[in-house]
Amino acid sequence: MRLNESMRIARANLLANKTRSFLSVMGLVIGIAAATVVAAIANGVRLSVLESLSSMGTQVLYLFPNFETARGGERVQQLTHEGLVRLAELPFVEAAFPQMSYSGAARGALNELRLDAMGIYPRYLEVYRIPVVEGRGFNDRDLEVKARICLLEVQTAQKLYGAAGALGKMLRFGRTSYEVVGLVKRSSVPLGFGNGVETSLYIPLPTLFRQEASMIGSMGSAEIWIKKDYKGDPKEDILVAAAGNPQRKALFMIQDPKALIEEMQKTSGRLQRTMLMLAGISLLVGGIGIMNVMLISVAERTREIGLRKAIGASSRDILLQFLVEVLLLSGLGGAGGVGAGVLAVWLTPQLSSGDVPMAIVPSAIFVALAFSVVVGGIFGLYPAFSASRLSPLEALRHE
Amino acid sequence: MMSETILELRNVAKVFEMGGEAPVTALSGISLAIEDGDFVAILGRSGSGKSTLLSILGCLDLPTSGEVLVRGQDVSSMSENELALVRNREIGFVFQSFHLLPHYNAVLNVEMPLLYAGRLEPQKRAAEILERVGLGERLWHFPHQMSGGQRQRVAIARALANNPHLLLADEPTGNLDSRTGQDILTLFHELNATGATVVIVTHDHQVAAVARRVISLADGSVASDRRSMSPGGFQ
Ligand SMILES: Nc1ncnc2c1ncn2[C@@H]1O[C@H](COP(=O)(O)OP(=O)(O)OP(=O)(O)O)[C@@H](O)[C@H]1O
Ligand SMILES: [Mg+2]
Repeated sequence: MRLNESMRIARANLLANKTRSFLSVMGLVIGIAAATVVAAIANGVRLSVLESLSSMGTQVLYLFPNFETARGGERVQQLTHEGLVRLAELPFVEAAFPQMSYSGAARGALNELRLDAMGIYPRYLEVYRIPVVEGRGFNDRDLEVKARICLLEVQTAQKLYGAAGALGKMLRFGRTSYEVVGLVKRSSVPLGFGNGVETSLYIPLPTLFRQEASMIGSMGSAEIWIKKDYKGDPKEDILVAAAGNPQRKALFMIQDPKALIEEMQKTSGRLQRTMLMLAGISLLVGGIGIMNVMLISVAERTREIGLRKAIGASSRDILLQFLVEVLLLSGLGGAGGVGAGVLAVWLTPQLSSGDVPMAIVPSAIFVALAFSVVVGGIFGLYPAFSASRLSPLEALRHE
Repeated sequence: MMSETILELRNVAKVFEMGGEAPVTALSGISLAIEDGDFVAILGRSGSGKSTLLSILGCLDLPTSGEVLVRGQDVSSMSENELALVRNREIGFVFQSFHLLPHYNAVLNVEMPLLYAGRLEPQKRAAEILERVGLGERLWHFPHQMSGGQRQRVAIARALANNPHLLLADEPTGNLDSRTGQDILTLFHELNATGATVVIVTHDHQVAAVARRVISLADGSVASDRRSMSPGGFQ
């Protein structure tokens, strides 16, 4: 019998047993969809880490007051505004942000929430890729006049003001009222050193500094973004610029977050492996589903095989037919699963505002498809193998 | 007048091993030859071995001992593929319980042996044969939508699909009322008249009466083997 006839028989069989075919393949569809989504999430996390690494260019450095040198009773030297300006003016520095945050009660029209406010410069939004979805961001004039304005994260704004909207409203925070001039999303760069990701309120740095000075004291540390193409060692220059003169540079210390980044990469690798394991388990469950339905139909299929042999099918014909059938079934199931998975990956950002980074992994799809075909093959061919060894009569009499 | 032998059994026995219990001897010492173009009835009480004998004649099962020769060739010397070819081309088997695939309509059921034979336009041919057995109106019906007599006809049509020389039927009228049984029997006679060799297992003495040869089984052995004096004495 030729292959296209095997195809015809297999197709006829699958169509004739729609419910059984559907049931046997359902587990696979779900398993593969899950594998596709899980792999996409794991990959998405990995990519966003990589992306934030590359967005950071060569380096981000953190500058701290040096608590070691301050031990002898000497006062800890905080970074001053002048120091920050000197840092920002260094030729190899892309941007320098002070770490300045303040936690306090924020009162909107509806609710009061405890929020972390961060004092920022306009560049901060750009570097950390924080999109302004409504209203505007900050500009240099806001800094100059120390405008009492703020940006609110969208969901937080929703909580504080409800459907009425927060834009243009006054927000009471600490001892001051700020006008909400813009709504922002969370940073898509998850690598901030203790900032960025969880912050939901942004205030121009000079404003926050002045309004809450008594609470904050001074700027503690700063993060310094080094330009991508800079190849030298910037540490010495930074220390000098921060302290104002070379003799006092020991008052500050620099931390290179490379180690931190490497740790994160390891974590994301572990995460990815764990998730792939979970996906593997769901595929196994899918395989067991196929096996279950196939085993239930073994008796029926054995009699069918008996009949086919009785009317002239050779063992080869039988095996070929079942092989084609299984490939067709598990191939369709696998394709359905991939389709459902891709759809889910595509729909998730549409339906949820929480950003789950996801990116389809073609190789994972291929592996899942191959797996589904192998699983289908093992469980679907089993009755065919055993039945093709029986005489037609024995197979026909199978209970 | 009888021409060549198309099927021959030599000292055939069939013993079913029962795994623990005493083995069952279904057939023993059977020697017989089926002549080309003959119309044979196999009679015997229930359990006498008729179905077992027919399956061995139809190459659906192998004997425990003895030889089965198809056109002079020993079945035990044939490869699996050659045997499949014999079942496909030389023999049409009509089962007592029809064995139609429930999820296939009449045409698909009849098509099956044609597909294994690699025939062109199997659907057209299947429809023709169904037409011939009087089921032209039921081509696309499924077995569960048909009466017992109609299913029997589908099973016969399937057996006829590849124009086999030998038609084997296990109690083809057993489940049918006498009118329908008569129609089926007429059909077999027509087929026999156009050259097919027919072997029918039956309880029905009406069937036996029209056969040219009647073999009686008792306890797995041939008790009598009579040839009718009036060949073609049907109707
Ligand atoms: N697969 C089997 N395993 C064990 N014993 C069997 C098997 N098939 C048939 N037998 C036994 O062989 C004997 C002959 O069975 P067979 O089916 O050939 O009888 P039969 O003449 O066709 O009977 P009936 O008229 O009731 O159909 C019986 O005793 C039966 O129990
Ligand atoms: Mg019987």
